[in-house]
Amino acid sequence: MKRSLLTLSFFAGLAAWASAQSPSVGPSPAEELKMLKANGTLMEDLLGHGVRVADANTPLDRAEKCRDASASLKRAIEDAGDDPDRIVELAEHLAAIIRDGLAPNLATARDQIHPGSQDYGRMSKLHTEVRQDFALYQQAIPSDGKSGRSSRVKDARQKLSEAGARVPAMKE
Amino acid sequence: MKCEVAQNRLLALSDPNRAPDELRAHVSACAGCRAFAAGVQKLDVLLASLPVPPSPAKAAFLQRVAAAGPVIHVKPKRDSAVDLLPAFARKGRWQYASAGLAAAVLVAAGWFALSGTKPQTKPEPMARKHDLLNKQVQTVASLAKADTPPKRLDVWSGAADDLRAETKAIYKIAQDDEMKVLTRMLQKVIYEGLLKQAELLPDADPAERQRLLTRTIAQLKATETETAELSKVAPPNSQKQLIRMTEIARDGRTKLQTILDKGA
Repeated sequence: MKRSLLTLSFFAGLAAWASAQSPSVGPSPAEELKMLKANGTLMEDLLGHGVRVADANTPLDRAEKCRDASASLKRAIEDAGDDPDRIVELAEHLAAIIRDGLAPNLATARDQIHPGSQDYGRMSKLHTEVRQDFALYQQAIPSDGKSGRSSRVKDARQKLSEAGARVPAMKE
Repeated sequence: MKCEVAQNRLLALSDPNRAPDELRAHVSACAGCRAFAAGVQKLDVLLASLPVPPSPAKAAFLQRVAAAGPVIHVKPKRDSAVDLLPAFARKGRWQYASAGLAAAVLVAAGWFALSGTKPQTKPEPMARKHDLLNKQVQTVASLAKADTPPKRLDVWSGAADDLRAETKAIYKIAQDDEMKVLTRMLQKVIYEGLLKQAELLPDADPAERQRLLTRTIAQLKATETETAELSKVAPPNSQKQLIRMTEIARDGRTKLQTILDKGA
């Protein structure tokens, strides 16, 4: 009886452990290479933006450079055609740049630059451009076809909207 | 994260250059774990380059297989599983089998009870996302948040490591053009990222400056060593770029050393 109970607990533990294991493993070298081929130009482009972001000395400068990086990702989304997976991946990256790069730097710039100061006009112009960009970003994500029907593309669009909502309003 | 946990996770990684972000954050902030990670990476490189000794047993086995020819003489019986029945029928065996079955039923019932209470829509299958592209985006976002040269140096160090890991992942099957992309990226990270920020490190805290530069020099040394080792065993298509990467890493390391010595 005792042995049966032990066996029972062993199998139960084993089954629980096995079901908890993640089936996912890393990509194979061939998959990795395929992704490098698909994204090589975009990655080199982003790296260039990274260099310019790092060279920027003020939050306003950094926000401008982040906007440039966002534009690269928007172009990549437009080039993705009707491929929902690709659109979702790129839209999430675009949302990350806006949420973690553009919005916080624009918020800091807004706190530092006051009306009438030298940079205020520049910041105001950037603000207007960023607002206009959002409309274009949303348009870049297809609303019809295979991608338009995808719930994940809809989620990605929502994430992009949420990231856009983090961009602070201008102080009057 | 505790150091013990971090170090165990480092050991469990299939590729020590591909640590998750939270682990990398701990490692970059903890001198002990950094040293440990460097050791793990070195070990990984050394193990990969370890020569396999000749094995007489393997040679004899291969000879036997070759001598047997391509014909399979004995096919396994399709109904061989039925032979297990007499074994289970022996005293006590059924107890174990039924206990195992009961456990499986219990776990399955529990799982259905927990997950099957509300109707679920079938999720859309997700394609694999490109990890290096994700890291590039994170690099841009992190640089946008990094407002000092030490923080930017840290981000660029991570970017150099990401490229090293990617190189290791694909060098066996990549063509020269694909390797060139990685070479150009490494060049940019080292010359326009690391070296530029290293020049800007403030002199106000010499000890911190020395720590950062020494760590970055060690990282580039690891890249140099690894790409040099890989170039020795790489197929001709990727060899040239691996050698080029070694030269870039060596040059970057030498220039960083000059910056370090200048400030000393």
